Amino acid sequence: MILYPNNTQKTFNRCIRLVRERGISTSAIIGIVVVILVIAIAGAYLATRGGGAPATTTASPSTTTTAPATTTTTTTTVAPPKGTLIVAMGTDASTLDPQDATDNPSEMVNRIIYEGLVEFDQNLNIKPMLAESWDIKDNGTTYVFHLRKGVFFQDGTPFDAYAVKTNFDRVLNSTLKLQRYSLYAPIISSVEVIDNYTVAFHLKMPFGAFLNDLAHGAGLIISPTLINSGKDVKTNPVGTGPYMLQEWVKGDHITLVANPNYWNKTAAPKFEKIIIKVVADDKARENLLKTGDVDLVLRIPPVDVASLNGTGNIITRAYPTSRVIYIAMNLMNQKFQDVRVRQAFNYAVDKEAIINSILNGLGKPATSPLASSTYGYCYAGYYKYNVTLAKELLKEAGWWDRDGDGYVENANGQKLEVNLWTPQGRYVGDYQMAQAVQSYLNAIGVKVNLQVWEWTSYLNEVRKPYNQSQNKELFLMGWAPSTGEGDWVLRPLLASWMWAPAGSNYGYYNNTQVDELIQKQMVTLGQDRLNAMCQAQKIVYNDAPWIFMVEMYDTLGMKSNVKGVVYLPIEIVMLKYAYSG
Amino acid sequence: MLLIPTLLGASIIIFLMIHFLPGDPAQILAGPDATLQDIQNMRIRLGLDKPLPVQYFLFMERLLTWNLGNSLVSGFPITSLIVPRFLNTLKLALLAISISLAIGIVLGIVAALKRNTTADRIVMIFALLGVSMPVFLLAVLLIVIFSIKLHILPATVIGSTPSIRHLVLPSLTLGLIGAAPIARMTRSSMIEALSQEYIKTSEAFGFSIRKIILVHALRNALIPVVTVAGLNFGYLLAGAVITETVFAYPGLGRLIVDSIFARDYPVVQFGLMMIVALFAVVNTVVDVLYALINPRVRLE
Amino acid sequence: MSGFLESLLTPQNKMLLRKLRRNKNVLLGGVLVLIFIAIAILSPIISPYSPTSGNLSEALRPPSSNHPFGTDYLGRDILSRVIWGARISLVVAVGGIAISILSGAIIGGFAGYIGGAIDDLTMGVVNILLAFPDILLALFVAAVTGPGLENVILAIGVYNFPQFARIARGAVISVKTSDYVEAARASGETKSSIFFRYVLPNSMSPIVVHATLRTAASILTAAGLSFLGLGVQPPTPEWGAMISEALYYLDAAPYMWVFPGIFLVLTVLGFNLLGDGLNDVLNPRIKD
Repeated sequence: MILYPNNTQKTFNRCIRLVRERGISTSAIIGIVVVILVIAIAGAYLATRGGGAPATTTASPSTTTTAPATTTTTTTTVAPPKGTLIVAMGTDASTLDPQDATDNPSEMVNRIIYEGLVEFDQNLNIKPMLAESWDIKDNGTTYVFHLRKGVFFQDGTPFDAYAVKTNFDRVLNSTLKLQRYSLYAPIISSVEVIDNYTVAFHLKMPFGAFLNDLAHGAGLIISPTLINSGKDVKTNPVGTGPYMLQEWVKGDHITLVANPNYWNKTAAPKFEKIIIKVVADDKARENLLKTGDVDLVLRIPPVDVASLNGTGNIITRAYPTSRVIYIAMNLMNQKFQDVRVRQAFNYAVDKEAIINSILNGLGKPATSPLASSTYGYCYAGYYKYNVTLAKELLKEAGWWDRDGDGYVENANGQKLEVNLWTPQGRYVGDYQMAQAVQSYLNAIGVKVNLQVWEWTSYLNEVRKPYNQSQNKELFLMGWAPSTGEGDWVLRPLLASWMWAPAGSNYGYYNNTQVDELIQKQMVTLGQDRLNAMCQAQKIVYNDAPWIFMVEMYDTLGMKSNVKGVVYLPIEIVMLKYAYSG
Repeated sequence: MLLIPTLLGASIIIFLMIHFLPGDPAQILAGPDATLQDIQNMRIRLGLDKPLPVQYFLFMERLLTWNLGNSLVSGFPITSLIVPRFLNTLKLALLAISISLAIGIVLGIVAALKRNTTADRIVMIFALLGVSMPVFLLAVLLIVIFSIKLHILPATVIGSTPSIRHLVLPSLTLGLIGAAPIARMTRSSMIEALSQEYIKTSEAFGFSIRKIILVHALRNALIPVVTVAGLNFGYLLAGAVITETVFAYPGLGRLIVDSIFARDYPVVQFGLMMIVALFAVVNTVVDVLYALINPRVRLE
Repeated sequence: MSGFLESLLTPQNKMLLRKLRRNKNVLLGGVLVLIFIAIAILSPIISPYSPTSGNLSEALRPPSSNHPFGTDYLGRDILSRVIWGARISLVVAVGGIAISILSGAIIGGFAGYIGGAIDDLTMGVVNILLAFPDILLALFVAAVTGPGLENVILAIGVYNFPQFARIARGAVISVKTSDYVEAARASGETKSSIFFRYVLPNSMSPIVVHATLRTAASILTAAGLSFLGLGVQPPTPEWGAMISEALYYLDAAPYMWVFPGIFLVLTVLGFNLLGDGLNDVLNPRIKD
């Protein structure tokens, strides 16, 4: 007999007594049974009702459904779009205003709805999009774009130079406080309409990465009518892209429909609809692919990539990205003041073992703050796993195991004890990598307290200024420059004027030489720029303000009939050209 | 009836939660993004500078007027977060209890009738396993069988409106676990009921009457079972927390857990309050039902 | 104290022991529980590897002669982690139950003894705590105190407290009003002597049964909390946490959850069997 808390026990006792003493009236029993049945049926009914219309899972995107009437008169015969593509990603988009979005999910959706003057191809080369060609004048301080004709926004507004100017005036308007203001404001001084289809950008300096900055998600062009109407762009996006927003249920899914008036007939939308669903857990997304509930899945666990590829009708792909995972150190903390300690930490971690085991080979050891696919990368060094060297460096810095307890102490008898913070599930293998680092640092005598954070709280905490960050010591971060080039790594993460909370220099790194080199590469072009960036990378690598960990790979899983998906190393999946075949 | 004072007491404990936490309550409630002005506003709005009883009164006022404020994380009004998820959890719990009753009662009857045979042993082992198995382990087992090996059912719920397919595995998990104590209770109360009637009458009357006795015994035996099932509902609510997390089911339990991690304390408070209220209501309903059967109990 | 020991060795108790030895549930459950306790106590000795550090190049190996239960994603030996997990579960469950028995007995017993307003107040508090379904109370405590081993023990202690308080109070009340205690008091026996000779032995059997069954439930609850991430923190091995980690590797490494799962079920099963058996023997009829 199980013992329940006293209520149950007493009630049960009373029941037994009752059964034995009184014949219970039949009607009472019937009454009770009826009540139970009613509840059960009500519950089942509610369950059926609440299900509502489950998300239409057309198993393969090539199922023929009624095609919508296309209203455009075209000279080339374009096959009408059909079928639905169902995509699952981990986090919901936060805003469909490209000038205010800083997260990848938002950018990914925006790149289907909007287009920019230029676009990246899969090698991050610049190719023309809404601009057909351009001239660079005045030593690189003026860019003149010749715009494509016959392009219309999804609300019917024609695309022209005035539209471009409206867009950039908006993002440069500091009173609007758009997130991407800080990307363009230091670079663009003004935008000038020359004629209907010619527009000139006047820059403050000959900024070498300007085209990359325009190909960036922030450079996607919004309908000027929308901008001028004052409506909220965040939830009412209007662009020139092949698909338009039909519905956005926050935290749940985004539904896009084909744009019947899309200007590019050779790249017309192939699907009637694209539904992007939010499924937070990597493994859960993978399972959905396996059960056929979705057609394309972003980011699946690396341990399953190889075994899943080719099973059923599923294929998997892995792509190197421009993301580097690193463990930053709070350089205001006196424990990390000595460069030998920082380098010791770097030598103590076996990056290759981590990549092989935790990432199943999908990664490369970081040899610079930049990933090798980022423009401007140069090999800055490699802290190859060397426990002996690590311990030696610690000893030189005054830390060794003086009392035989397995931990190193300094001359004052203090143990070297550090906090290691990590998110869980934000980056592939983030938590597992942090655990491995904890283990490696333990092995050289450092006591590590690991703390897992939920992502939003983590960001808030990590972004605090140094005088509010006493507990922040070691913390795992990742960074991928969405411009595909090195300025947007070095400047936000390592320039001294970008200390948190102003920028993303969360460890408060401060090196005058590096600052100068960053400023130099902002205003130079070509080989000079590359040299400046390279020098900066080498200095930083040797300074070891971080434990340089891994260049990450990204993974996709999809049904074998999903084609035309382009993966950009800036961790963006381009869906606009996708088709079923 | 103890319902009101108990609920009030629970609300006091839940209210005090913010004060048990380390740190300044106003800052905790204003959230990590708050400016000093926001924190000050929060302090005034919630009366955090006033004595505790006044704060509690304001808290209860907010609760009863359904003016719960916004989530610290998403900024959405808490009511819009809690209500649909509460209904989802309720759906899950009702389905689960139906499954528990169906499986548990049938198994219990079979075991009681075939007492001390293999069938009885099997049922008893199943029941014992049911109370010894953690909810999450059974959930994993079911996922492995139905989702991974057989590919029939989804292992996770997509989005915030679960369809029937999505409800099957979570409710099956809870239902199976809940069936175990019901099976045991059914078996023992059936045996009790049977032992009296059956022995007395079967001697006197003969074979065909056995069926009538069986039915009569069944009727009597089901009452305690039904009571237990009603009370089990509470434990089902508790088990739902873990089940919802494993299956990513958009219910109140999972919301509470997620909010604890995200330090979204207002959501935790009001979410807990709703579950506690539901639990208390169910307990009271069962007590009332029972009192209706036996007028003698009312006097106690 | 000697009175207490004397009162234990009555002929009824000796017969009780004999019955216990013959009850199948007690035997089977007792064996499982003893094995569990033995593993927990002996873990530093019998564990082949360290449970917290592993060799990354040996990650995710299926069971082999080197690693009978395989290795996890950090290269840690799963057998060692399962063995040490027993120790953690034992500490948490026993620690928590001990806290609740002590606090419950003291507070509940005192309330029963004094009676009146204090009694009502205490029972009011107990009822309020019982208004929280099971794991939600533990969840609430965990939310307030944060994750960590000590906090889990506290949560288990809090969530079991109400029932032990009730039992203790009930025992004290029933003894307080019984005849032989009246007689003892009339004949001038000291309060402490009454306590040890009458109150304690009478409340022992419900407490023992309840403690056994609640230990089973507590192990499950603690595993549940750790599964959710609110309990024991890594790299400390805990069965629930191990199963949670295994979800990511469900296809690649099923042995990561199978073994901790088996041990968890068997341990809880043992306590449940033992508790059932003890209940059958010590409380042959349901007390009203």
